Amino acid sequence: MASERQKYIRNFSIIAHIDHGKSTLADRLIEKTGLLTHREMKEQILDSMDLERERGITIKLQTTRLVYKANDGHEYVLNLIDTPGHVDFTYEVSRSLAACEGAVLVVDATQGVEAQTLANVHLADEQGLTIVPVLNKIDLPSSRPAEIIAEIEEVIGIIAEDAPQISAKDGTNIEGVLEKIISDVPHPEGDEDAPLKALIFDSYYDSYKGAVAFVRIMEGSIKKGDKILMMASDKKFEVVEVGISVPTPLAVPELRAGDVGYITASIKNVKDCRVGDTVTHAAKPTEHALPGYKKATSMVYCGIYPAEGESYDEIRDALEKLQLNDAALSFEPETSVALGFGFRCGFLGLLHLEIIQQRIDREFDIDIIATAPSVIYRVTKNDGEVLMIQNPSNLPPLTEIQMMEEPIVKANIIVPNEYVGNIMDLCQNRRGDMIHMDYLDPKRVVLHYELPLNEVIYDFFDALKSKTRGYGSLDYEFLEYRESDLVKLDVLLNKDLVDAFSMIVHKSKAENRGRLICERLKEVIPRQMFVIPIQAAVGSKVIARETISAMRKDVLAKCYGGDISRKKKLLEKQKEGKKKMRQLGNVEVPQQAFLSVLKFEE
Amino acid sequence: MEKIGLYVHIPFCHSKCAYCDFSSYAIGNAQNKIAIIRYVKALLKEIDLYEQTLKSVEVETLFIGGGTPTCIDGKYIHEIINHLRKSTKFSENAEVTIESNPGTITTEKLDHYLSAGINRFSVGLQTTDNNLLSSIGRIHDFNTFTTSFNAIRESGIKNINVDIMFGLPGQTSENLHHTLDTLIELSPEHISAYALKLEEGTPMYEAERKGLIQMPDEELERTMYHEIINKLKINGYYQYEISNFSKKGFESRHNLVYWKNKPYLGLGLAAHSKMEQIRFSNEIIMSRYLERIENGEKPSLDQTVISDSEDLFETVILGLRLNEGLNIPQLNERYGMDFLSENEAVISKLTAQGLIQITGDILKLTLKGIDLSNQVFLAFMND
Repeated sequence: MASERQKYIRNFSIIAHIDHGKSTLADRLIEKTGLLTHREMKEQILDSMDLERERGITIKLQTTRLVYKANDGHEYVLNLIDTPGHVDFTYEVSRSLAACEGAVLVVDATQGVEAQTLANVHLADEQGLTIVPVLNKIDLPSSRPAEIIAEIEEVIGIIAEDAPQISAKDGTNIEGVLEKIISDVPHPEGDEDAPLKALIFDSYYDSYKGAVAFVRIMEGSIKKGDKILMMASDKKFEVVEVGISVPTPLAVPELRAGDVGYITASIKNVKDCRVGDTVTHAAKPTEHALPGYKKATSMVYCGIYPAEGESYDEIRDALEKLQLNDAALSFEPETSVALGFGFRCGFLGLLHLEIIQQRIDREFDIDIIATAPSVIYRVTKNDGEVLMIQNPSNLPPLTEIQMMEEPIVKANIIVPNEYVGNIMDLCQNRRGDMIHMDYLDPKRVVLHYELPLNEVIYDFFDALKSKTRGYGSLDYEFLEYRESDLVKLDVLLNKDLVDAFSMIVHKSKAENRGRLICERLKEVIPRQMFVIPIQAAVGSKVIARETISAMRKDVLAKCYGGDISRKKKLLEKQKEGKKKMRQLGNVEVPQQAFLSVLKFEE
Repeated sequence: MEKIGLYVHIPFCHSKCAYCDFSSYAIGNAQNKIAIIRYVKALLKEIDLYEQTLKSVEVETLFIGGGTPTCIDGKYIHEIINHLRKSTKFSENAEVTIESNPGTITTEKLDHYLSAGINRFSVGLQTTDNNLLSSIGRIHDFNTFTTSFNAIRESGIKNINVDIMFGLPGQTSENLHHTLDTLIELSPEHISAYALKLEEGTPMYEAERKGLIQMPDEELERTMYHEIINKLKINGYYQYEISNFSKKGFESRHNLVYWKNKPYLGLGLAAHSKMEQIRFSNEIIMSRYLERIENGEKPSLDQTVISDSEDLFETVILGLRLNEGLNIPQLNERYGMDFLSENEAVISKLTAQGLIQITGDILKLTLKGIDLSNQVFLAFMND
């Protein structure tokens, strides 16, 4: 039985395909519920990180509490739980959804259902959520609500005829959405007097408060001073503060079943506050933890090393802090001949990897060198031993290998039908197998492919976008390991092997990729005082080669009117640049060299 | 009495060249004509503001540079030099140079210059090729240059420098040789040869960025440089600095002040000074420069006290530009140190790379070291 209080609470997320207007709608909901005036609204307030705004996507979850006086005369508390909108963050999305009773599904009325729309609906269904469809961008002349309603009904199987038709951009019919949430999304239930059972669906690190956990209270209640137990990490803490997010933190006396809020408990170790974990009372624990907790599995790995002049310890601190918000980030120390001490880091996917790299740079101001990304290969040796290889340098000699397997993903690609040919070419190029193809509507097609993950992590998404003029969308999940003809591609700079450039590739791709790497490196490595050969090799066989000729000139222009300081500034700038170079043997290599082997436009 | 070099900046030109990023204003503009009068007045007042300093030094060299100092009325130059002579002591054989561009020199101006005591001219030719001249935004052609050069010579000036440039977009080796041959025929006492470097914000920089012009590659540019050195050497011009060549005894004494890291005072817009181990430079915005002087203030900005180690570094990098190289015992005495042992690692590395050589007391750049001089300077720079 729900308490009277719970009847006036709604916990919901907004789900959408990227660019369909999720963040804009969130902003309008906040605005409409009067927490902030229009003037105070920063564009897209929920996307608090610059990086998110730049990419137009939400990476870090945020949650906010809204207060809305509905047409029925009651005041409702609406807890809006934001979700990240990318295929890499499926687990995070699933935990956010698990904290809700309903999800507002935003569909762009000009674009219709896309790959992530489907993927997100699927996740929401798994959590048993009530889905409230909303048609956005109704202000655009190209919107076609009737067709999109039909599409939602056919493809997703949700009745959408009374879906609010809105424009989040200009604020049209936002009340329609709020009323729909109140009428359609079930209020929370859960015994307020039962032992505490709360789901951590997000967390962040605050330098004063320690780890702050966002929680949905499923049963029971929590207040300051309570002794709590994190059931998966099996750690105990004393609650320092409980509060709600409006969206700035606001301390409250307690949180009860059905509420969404945060707790702080002087949690120093970031690993003790994992997304998906269940919080309960240490003295009187709940019997069963909430289902669905998993330690996120990394799909893509790369080495992260301090750039010249940066410290290993600072990177470790940064990674530890990032890991708090991000249970999916894993790392362990490793050593490279070329780069010294660093970390092998695991990510959910390539976007996740790029985001972490950029956050280390922007939020912690540390220059790093990242090695080429790699998936995990399964290697069976002649003696039957099975190795999981995340770092190409750890691959045993070919003579010791009986079999190599690589991860295969199941990918759903939605494209307008005129681009089907392009995408079939792309997938074939990336060693994909087409399983089947469905028409979503007369104009759009879902292509079901099985693709090697190591092909997907190299620019696949960018290639998909460029080959479909931005209309293609992608969603994938791990399928299985499959035997494959793989080789290790090495790069030699001035005859020395640079382990940081090594990568495992399919045999058929080795020559092409080797040539591209040599060309890229020739472009980015500046001339030095001697000739530098660049070679790509498989085993002892050189398959591509370029040469950087020796520097012939490095002179400052005339000394004008005694302006020595200008000369010195130029030299200092040059010195700074030199300091950022990485010394590999006697060759100075700029940071970009390591980035340039990460991406291949084919 | 301390001996110093004096620099006076005249920031006016007929029009700005396409590669120039120095402080200068085109005089075609009516506003700027009025500004010239105000500027000269300010310069005179700036000299007064340095009254104490000027009283306590002896001026060995005066360089009036620009811009194009010869593009303004000769009487102004005369007035400025006269005022300086009243305010400070000039050495008996002081070198007094004016920078000029072809086509800006008249008999009347020459009269002013000579009676003010100017005894050295520096003329910007750049190249004898008229097409190249117009492509880099020079307003003169080769004939105008010859006329100006001859007029200066006929007035009795016995020390003339000509500036040339190499590594111009579209410049060929033939063109360079033609320029050198023609110049050798005219027989100036001094030749400066500068490689064109495109500075950000100049029209040529933009043109190159957009692919409208193409700079010669490093190989060709360096070949040109080496050909200049050889040809001038054969013809009696010895190279005494990376970009400078002269007949014996006609080295630019003013430039040697800079390269030997000796004190100099710069007057005028954006002028640079180094006095008593303090470097400073003047306002670079005309209105601010004028305003500060008119308010009775020295127009300097950015005073930097040079530490001993920075001063040593400057002495090293400036001195290495000179073909006579660094005199190590002199250096040791000036800075109270043992230069060779304190820089042992750097010196042995650079020697091994073939960039420097030590002969007796002298440390100097090799030809390869000249081409890669920044690499040498960077090696001597503190971290």
